[in-house]
Amino acid sequence: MTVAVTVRQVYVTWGGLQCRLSTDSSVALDYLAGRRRLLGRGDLAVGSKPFPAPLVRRRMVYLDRSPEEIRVERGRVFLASPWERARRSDILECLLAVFFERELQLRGRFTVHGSAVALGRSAYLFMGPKEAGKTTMAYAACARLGAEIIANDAVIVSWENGRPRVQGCDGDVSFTFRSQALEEADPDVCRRVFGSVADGRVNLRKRVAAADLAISACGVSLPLRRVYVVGLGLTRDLDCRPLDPLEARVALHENIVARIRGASLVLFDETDRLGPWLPDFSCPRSQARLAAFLNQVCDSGLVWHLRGPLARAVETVREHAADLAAT
Amino acid sequence: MIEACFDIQGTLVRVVTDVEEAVPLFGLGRYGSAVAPSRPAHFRLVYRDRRRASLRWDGRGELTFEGPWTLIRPSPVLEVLGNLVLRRALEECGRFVLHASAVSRAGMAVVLFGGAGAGKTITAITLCRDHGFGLLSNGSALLGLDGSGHPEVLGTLKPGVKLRYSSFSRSFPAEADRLFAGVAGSGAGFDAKRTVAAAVLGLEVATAPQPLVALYHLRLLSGPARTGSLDPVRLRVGLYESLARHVRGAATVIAFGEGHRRSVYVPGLDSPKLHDDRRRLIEAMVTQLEGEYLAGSPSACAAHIAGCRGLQRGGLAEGGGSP
Repeated sequence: MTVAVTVRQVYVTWGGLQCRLSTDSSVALDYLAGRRRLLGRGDLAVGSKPFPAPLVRRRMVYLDRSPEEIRVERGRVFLASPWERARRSDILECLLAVFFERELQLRGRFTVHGSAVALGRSAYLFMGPKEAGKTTMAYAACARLGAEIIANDAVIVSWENGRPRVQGCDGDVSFTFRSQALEEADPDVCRRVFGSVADGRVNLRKRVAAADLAISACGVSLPLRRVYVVGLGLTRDLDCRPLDPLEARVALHENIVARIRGASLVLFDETDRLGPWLPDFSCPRSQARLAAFLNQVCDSGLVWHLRGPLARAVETVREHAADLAAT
Repeated sequence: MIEACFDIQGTLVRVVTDVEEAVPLFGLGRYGSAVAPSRPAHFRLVYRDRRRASLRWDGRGELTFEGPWTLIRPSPVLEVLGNLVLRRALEECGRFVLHASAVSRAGMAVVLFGGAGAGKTITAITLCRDHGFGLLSNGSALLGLDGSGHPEVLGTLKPGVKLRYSSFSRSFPAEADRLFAGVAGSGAGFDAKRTVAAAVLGLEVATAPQPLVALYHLRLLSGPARTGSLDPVRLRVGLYESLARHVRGAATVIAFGEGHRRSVYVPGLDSPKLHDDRRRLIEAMVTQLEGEYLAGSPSACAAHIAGCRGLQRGGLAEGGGSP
């Protein structure tokens, strides 16, 4: 006996773009309709009629069935997964997030993994590897220099009218602190956030809303004046200078491209083990857009090293901001 | 066309090119030795001198790059490609490169990982000097699973010890000034690096393979050793990112020409099969090894590691512990 499967089509909008999603799962649609953000970012909406936003040509297809399968094809991204499993692993949301991220990249908007603050009508971006001090720098710039937080973790940068711009924050901003980093940056706040850390434990993490720290968020788009590749505590003296163009390109490329082709696309199954393989969402066209953006950013001498003790790094940002505001 | 075959601990990579001078630029000679091709290679890397730059992957074991030699020669492009295909070829052979140091004592190995400046190298040196360990790898440990599915250190991709002046000089100031003569005080700071043989530092080199008993996520801080638990989910992601970033193409930038402004698209060389192999290795590491987040001075961290249960017991945990 064949069972008729009804495939419904809806419109999903996020990040100023919309795509068509076809699915046989009404449970999945109800679930998505109840979400306001996509993996904690942006504004997500699902509707049966098109939204007033540019329509992405590629389609998303989700079928509630086994075996699990993910394919990136010319005209569509295809996911098959039993709904219970898909919901627990967030795989549908992850795929939608990567799907939209790729479309943003094709349209010249790039998400940088880092933190950004607004200081005197300009944006400053802190990037770097894990535990380099991105959050610490952003927090210290806000707490000590009176900066506003734009984004912590995902900063959207684009090139407009010959200048780079950072998109304003898209909702509540929070800091994810690591205990030992905050202990060095601000012992008082560290005690407030983590309680007593005297029991010698390290590597505790906590997410704190910026509002709870009396730090205000900046919701407007601002020109990006400098990108700092931070490394707090890596050198005894302050080490602050522009990166050479190839170094800057390598650092920014991996940071940005990881969102659509990198290892951070790895998912989890219901037991928190690593989930299925995800294909690469990049293509020669996305690479060409990114390469053009990197040429613009690297030519402008925007990317600097900022290594050394926290206090001196913060003071340097203050000086740079004052100098740049004067020009 | 000129062909050269490199044997990297049993993994064969063949380079094929119409430019003889290009062969050493692939950089494969530093990982293994040139051999006469006696069996099929695990990967073929082709470079041709052409006006138009392009790159093609056959989806299996051959990558073909074309581009103008005059622009390619002064760029690191061939070395970047050599490194990429080597990692893919190693993964085909069940060898995974983790950005970590590995040391061993009495037939048991410990892996030290963490970001740049986390103290992987300094802690490894201290373990070898003060606690009777031998060096397996500094910075690029080759990991795999043994016949019974237990993780082991298979050796190192890069022999020797890469020292960073800014880190090394904090723990070993006199030696740093000697080894970095001319660099000290030049302002090169964090980026001043030098690779020396283990013997130059007086370190024993351990022979691989060695079974893994513990892994530590390091973070150098002043003062006594402080430990934290490793969150299994974050540990899985951290290990996966380190193991997969090259092969997935995320860490590969092809940039050449004036101002490094020209580039071509490099496809990811990953496959579902390699993903499954990586997953299996990570599951084994997360569930079978002792593991901790460890912060403190290098000597305090080294003393803590030297006293870890896995090494004391002289064997593996019954049924495996969980970090």
